[in-house]
Amino acid sequence: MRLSFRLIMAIVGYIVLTVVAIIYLMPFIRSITASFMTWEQAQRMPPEWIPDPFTTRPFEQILGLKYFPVWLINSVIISASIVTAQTILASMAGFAFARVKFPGREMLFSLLLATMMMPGIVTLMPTYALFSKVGLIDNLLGIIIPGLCGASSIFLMRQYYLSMPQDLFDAARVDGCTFLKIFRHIAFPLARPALGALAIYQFLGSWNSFLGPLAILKSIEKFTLPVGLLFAFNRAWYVEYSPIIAGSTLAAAPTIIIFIIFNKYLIKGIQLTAGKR
Amino acid sequence: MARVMLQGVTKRFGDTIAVNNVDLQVADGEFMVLLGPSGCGKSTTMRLIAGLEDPDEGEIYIGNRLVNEIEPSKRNIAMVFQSYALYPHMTVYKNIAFPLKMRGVPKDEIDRKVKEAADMLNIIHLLKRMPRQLSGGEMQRVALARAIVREPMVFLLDEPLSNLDAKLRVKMRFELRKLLHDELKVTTVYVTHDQVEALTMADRIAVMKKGRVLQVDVADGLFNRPRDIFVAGFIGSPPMNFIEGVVNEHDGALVIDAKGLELPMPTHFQEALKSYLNSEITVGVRPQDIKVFQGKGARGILGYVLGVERLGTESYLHIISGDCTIVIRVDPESKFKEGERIWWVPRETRLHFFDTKTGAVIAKT
Ligand SMILES: Nc1ncnc2c1ncn2[C@@H]1O[C@H](COP(=O)(O)OP(=O)(O)O)[C@@H](O)[C@H]1O
Ligand SMILES: [Mg+2]
Repeated sequence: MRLSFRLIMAIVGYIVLTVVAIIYLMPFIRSITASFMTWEQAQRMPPEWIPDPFTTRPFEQILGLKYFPVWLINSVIISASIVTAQTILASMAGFAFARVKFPGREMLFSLLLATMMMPGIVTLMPTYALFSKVGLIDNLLGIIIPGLCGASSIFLMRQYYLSMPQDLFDAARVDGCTFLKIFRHIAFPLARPALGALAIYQFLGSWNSFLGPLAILKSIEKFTLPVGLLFAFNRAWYVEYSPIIAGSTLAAAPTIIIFIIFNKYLIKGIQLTAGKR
Repeated sequence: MARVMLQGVTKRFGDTIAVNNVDLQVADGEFMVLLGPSGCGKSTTMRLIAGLEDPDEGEIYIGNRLVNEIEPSKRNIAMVFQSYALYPHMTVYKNIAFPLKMRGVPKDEIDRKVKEAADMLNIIHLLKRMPRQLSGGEMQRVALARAIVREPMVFLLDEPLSNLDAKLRVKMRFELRKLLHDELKVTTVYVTHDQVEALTMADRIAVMKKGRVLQVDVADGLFNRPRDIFVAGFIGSPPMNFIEGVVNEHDGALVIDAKGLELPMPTHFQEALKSYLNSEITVGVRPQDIKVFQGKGARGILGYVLGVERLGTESYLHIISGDCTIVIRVDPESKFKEGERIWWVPRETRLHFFDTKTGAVIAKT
């Protein structure tokens, strides 16, 4: 009796989840299929789902655009710098907060956590004002510099180092390591799973980030992919939207691929930040 | 090689005094065991010697050098952890080589020393493995090899055998002592809560309780001349019997009035106990130091049999006498019935007297 009730609940649960998942996936699926359609078919009502005729013209159009490769490169430069800097800096700072005793450590860490409570949008205007004074507006560095390190990354790394046994670090100290050597030879190599999660988060965040680049980047040749695509869309460079849809699909591709391949890491990252303290 | 000396060392964690004004001297080449129940401050004492904790008070010497301000890596010590603390991402070879590599020892010398240490511990065949591919006993050996490879002046081992199964533990006790003490002749501080381990391995044992060192002595001294009631009760299994009572005078001789039984005092202690007249003391006597008499014409203090605990080669009789339960070692052949009346007599020379308030032994005058 009880078991069959559970079974029914499970079935209902899965149905609800499936429906919600389909609703969420709809725009994705739509943009993928629509990027292989003629514009004429894509705007038909009611919407059609199977490209007929199948065409790669939207891709050819967007890739043929003079600025598309520039935007792509800008996006790559920004993401690569941020991912690299974050993994190195956050893992060092996280290690210090987790395993190095220094005066004021707890207070500094609380301060750091407090910055996590602040929505990014709040700091956008002050940052803008500051950057305009130092010439970082319309400059890729204006996107990269604020992204070099972040409280949540430090927090994630700290949690990971705390989950490692203290004995390992003590053994390394006795074996002749300074804190820097412990970091290099023990902590950093052992933190690979957390670093993987961190790198993926940071890639997704920087690759898809929109508001910051939109505010800070001014000239066409400085745009990132998301900003560039919106620009192209707004300026009505095309009468048809198919190339824009294809461009968005291309821009989203790394995100989707990473999600499929690395979702174990992503879950690991969530568990880390959710766990103790 | 070097001696280790602690002078008035205290370490606090917030309100907890983990180590309380400890004085300890470990002679050059000595095998010293820190023994005590869990939480008494053994590990903290060891970590203080290693430099992994800084003392709040007191001085620590290794050799003739005051090491209070010296980094763990520069103290010339090696440590083996209960968890072994092998580096999980390095092969056994790299684990053993690590302390040498960190000290900038040339590659060919590292190679020679790693192989030498591995040979000594019979783990040459494991050098290419990762720690996760090792059994507990093998990990233990690797941890030891990593410690000896540096030829430290002092060895620190924190419950190194407690994660091994019982049989291997017994074997390793002898092997460890042979290796560290007889072959390498290196000063060793060894932490354990297991008295058998302590008694079989140590040159001397420091018994700790609540952050204090109560007595430092050879095994025989701790067993036969405990200076504190805690030491008396902690060393020996089954533990010493304790009978609490008040010193009284009876027909001109001192006796102890204890919960429903009267214990006559040996003549050689009369003098020492005089000053305790009417105050509380505790009498201690080990199970093997009591004689039991059965049947007619028996003499001694009356008791009733509660039961017999038979452990193969030896048997322990549990009796109640007055309000005290007492454990007595008896001949495994002898027969007792539950509820049977027996008479018991402690061996006078084997009685221990303690001040109940302070726990300190009352010395014969
Ligand atoms: N890092 C620490 N922080 C707070 N308290 C500690 C710490 N290390 C040890 N203690 C406390 O100090 C006391 C002694 O601990 P320890 O030396 O580990 O005992 P043992 O090794 O004899 O079991 C215990 O009460 C323990 O809780
Ligand atoms: Mg301990």
